[in-house]
Amino acid sequence: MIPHLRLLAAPRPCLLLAVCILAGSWTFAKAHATNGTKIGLLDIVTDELNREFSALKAKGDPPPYYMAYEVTEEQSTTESATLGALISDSQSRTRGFDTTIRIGSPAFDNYHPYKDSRIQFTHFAQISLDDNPNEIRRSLWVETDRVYRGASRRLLQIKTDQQLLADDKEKNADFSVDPAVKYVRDPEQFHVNREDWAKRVRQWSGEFKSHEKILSSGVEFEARRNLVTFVNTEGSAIQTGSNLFRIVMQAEALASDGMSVADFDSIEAADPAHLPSDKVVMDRVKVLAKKVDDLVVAPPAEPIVCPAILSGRASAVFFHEIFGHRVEGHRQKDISEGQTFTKMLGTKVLPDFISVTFDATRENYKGNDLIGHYDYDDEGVKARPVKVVEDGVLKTFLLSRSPVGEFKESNGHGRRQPGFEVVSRQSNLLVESTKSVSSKELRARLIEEIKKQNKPYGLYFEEVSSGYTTTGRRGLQAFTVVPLVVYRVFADGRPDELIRGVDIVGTPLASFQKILATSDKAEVFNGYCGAESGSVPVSAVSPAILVSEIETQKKQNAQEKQPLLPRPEFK
Amino acid sequence: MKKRVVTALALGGMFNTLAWSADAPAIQNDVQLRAMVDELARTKTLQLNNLDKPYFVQYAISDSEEILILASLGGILTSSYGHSRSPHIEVRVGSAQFDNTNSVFSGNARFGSLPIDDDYAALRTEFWLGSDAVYKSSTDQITRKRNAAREMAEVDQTPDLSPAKPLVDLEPPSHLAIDQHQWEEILRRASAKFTAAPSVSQSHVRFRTISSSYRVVNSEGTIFRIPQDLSDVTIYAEALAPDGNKVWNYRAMVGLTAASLPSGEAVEKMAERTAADLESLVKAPVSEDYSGPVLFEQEAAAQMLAATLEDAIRLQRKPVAPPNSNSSQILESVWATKVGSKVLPEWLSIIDDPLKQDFQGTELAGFYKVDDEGVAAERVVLVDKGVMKGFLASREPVKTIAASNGHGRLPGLWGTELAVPGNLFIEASEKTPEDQMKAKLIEKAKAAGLKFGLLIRRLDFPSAAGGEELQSMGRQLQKGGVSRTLNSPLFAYRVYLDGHEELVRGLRFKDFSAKDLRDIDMASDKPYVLNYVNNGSGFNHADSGQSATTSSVIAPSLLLDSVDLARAENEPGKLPLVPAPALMAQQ
Repeated sequence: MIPHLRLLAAPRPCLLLAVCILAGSWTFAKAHATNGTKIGLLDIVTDELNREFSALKAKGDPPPYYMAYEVTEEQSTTESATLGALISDSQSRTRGFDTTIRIGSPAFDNYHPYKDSRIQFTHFAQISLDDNPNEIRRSLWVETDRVYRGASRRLLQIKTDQQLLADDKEKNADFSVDPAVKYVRDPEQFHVNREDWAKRVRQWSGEFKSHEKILSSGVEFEARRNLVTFVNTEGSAIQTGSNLFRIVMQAEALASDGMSVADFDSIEAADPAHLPSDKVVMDRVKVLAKKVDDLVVAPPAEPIVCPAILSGRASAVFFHEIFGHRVEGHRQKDISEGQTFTKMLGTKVLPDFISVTFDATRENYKGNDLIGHYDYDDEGVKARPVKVVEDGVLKTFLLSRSPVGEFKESNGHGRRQPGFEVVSRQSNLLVESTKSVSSKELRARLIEEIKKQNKPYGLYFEEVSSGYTTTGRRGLQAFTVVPLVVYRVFADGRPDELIRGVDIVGTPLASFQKILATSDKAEVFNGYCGAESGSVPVSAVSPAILVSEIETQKKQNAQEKQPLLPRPEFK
Repeated sequence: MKKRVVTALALGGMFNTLAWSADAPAIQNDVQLRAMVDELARTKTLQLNNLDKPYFVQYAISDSEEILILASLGGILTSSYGHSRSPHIEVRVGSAQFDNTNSVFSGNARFGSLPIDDDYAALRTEFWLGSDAVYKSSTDQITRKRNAAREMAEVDQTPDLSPAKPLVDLEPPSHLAIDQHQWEEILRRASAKFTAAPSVSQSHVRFRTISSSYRVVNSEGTIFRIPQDLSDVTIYAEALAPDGNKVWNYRAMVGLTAASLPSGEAVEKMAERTAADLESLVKAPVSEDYSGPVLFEQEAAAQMLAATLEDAIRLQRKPVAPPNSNSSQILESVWATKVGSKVLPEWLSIIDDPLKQDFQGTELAGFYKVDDEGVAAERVVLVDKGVMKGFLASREPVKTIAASNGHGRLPGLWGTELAVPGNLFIEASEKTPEDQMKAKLIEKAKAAGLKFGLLIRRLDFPSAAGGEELQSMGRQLQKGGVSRTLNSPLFAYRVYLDGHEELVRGLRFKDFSAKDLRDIDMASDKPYVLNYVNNGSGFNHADSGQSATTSSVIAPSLLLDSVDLARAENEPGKLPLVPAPALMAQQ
């Protein structure tokens, strides 16, 4: 598995241009009354959970010891445009559920890791948007039967298989004891005026019309409201949810040698009132368009090892990839994993001036909403701040209800995209530094370092699009982040020079040791992180960092030929 | 409700083959057409160094609005409205004799989505970039094709594109005008009917209506805008029989527009009937192998013909492929070499006539005037008095077929268009009264020394068989060495010599193809109209594939002398441990 972080919209033209157009209306949102009495979703799901659990406990061989249903309803509105014309105007509402059945005992159950065998029992099964007890109970029943069959099959199989192993090293229990929770919070409902947003994205995307070199561009607005209902057989009953409003803009062009150059910008908020004014968005579109124009004519990068500054957003991705993924708890149990940090608890893994906290309870950072925020994770465990690294020393891991060594309880990081099995995932990553200097000072330190190392230049990474890291043993345990906007910084006072086609390469442990200092101003990166349990929203907050050495490679060049005909001209 | 309008506007009469001018108001007022006309003029001039030039360019936009509602047991699962525009850009390089299509390197180029605003500049920009990419890819395809052809001992000399007359036909654009809430209510009520059917484990009712305007402009002077509409209501239900086998029932009601669909009450009745029929199927005994006379009654006869004729009445050609690459297996028509020969009893004829809008007052969903390639639909006599006369054709020439007869209706393989029936009429000159067909079946069974004959009232067509069923069926066919068969019967009855009927389940056809139609012994005097959604997939599996069109088969009940069916070989699983939750009564 290759975990990766990506933007809300990757800067590929097809993604924004080929958005699914199927739209929905949720005018039928009001619950459909049956026989005059309205039965809520929570009651319907709880009743069926109890009925299934007692029947399976009585008749199942082997019987389950734990069950849970998680219903996720997603309501979304999308307006996207290119060159001033609307491409998609859609609304959709879907509701489905995931089923968890644990068979055996918490010490050894059907989720027990075994070699590379993939664990996947649930699938996101669609249910009625109306709170219709007949339909919902039937769907739960059909799906529970399917999941139970798969779960019991795997348990019986791995019970035998693990006896055939030379030495079953995995001694951790499979499921932790965590308290039952009752919690209900209805996320605020905002009115989204589709016509207004359509008008805005048309206007913003129209700005790209005056940039002849830009071949593909777009601006998209999305409003998304998630409602989650979680019940388990330990008595937990949770109804919660979240809102996300986002504006994503992207543009792509071809340099003269056929290399694709692109940049993006995005704005996220949990409340539309937190979004910037139309004018601010337009200004950001203009800056983006100008940047892509500049990238087209920028010189290509050469491979180099040199000192560099990563902007706050760039280092946020850097930390997410090279650090965050390696402290996810389940990776410490999986024998196929690299287990970089498994035996390093209590030892120094980062420079001693750096601490890292994962805090899902944090809703925003200095006015920026953090999309990695949640109240309860997907196993019904309450979110809490978790200081993973204190003064450079590794203290704990990100934990779901899958115990790791001395950590027998979850710390609220069991997450998934609907349709996937839960594993431990990141939330809001916050990098704190005690060795911070002003941005100006950080730049002076970079120049000092360039001179000291006698390098022709250093690098400044302003914007990165995404990254991926391999944590498995099979591949090289390296990371790559894909920078979009990079400058050469010269020691002799020449102005910075924008370059294109840079990739950062490196191995994790070595990179941590090369952080010399940080700036005193943190920046926020919001994105979607993809891994075993699907795509989940995450945030990373970090100050800019100065590293003594970074290795870059040339980006792959598709050598795509420019369009043969000039752009059509219009009167 | 808007009706399909037959009159041509602005540019003169129907199928006007006169030259038109881009300045014509009808084109100037249609932003999508104008953008295509203007950009196509530039695309014709594309040339990269000394590489092949375009000799044929065609642009199309499917501008569609779609409403989809899915309901189960009285609850709405999905209710969506969407508007999208999908372009199709074709840039053929080389010449009509030898171009970049018809090789294993060829593909159909469809490009993402176009703006849904009538924005001339944005539309043209998309066509500009799309054409550039398609042209570059076409030059690559023709080079690969040439290289493959150089290595082949014998290359098919058939041209790659048949000539067609330029066609001009601008009909009013199609617009969706239905009440989504009203259909939600109909579906809630209809799907709730299954709450009274305790053995049904899963069920749903789906409504779909697509209102599409199809616009095409090409470098031969063709320009048209026609409606391409489709609406259907489908009902699906499944249950586990006591032996653990899954049984299902599927009904589809198809019309061009939502106005031609049955009323809400009729949909509810159909749901009730679907549930009741499935309950009977659950209780029905499993049939043993059967070999003997079969009466395909009404709907089943039309389904049987739709399934067997689809690939018998078109020819497909083998794409150019590197020698021994074995990458292009095409199942050839069983009638490919039969032109001039007898393929049916001499009292049967088959005609495809897309231009018929209705049959004895029933709407024909296979009606259209212009195909996807801009060729006017023609009436084609396929079989005349039992003798094979011709095939349905698109603009892809195949050996004996040099010109299209306006049947290119679905995207085919290798950059070509697939010929698909419109309205297929099976006409009998010798007829037996419908009410005597069953007696004839009994006579035949008796003569064959059987205790009963087999009467089939409905086939699984379009097929709603699940993945497991299809796999199991595939294994059984492979074991029997069978390459072609027919969709399984959904409702088959033993008709005993005393006339009483017994529903049986679990039968599959053995070998069955259009060749077996020679064994048709009798046709009734009552034609049945089957309107169906055709997607060109195997067994016309419901909702397979990216594209679909509508076809009709008009056929009487048919009695066949001898048909072989086998008991389905399934490995049924155990029934669920937990009994189904009790259902609450719903109004």
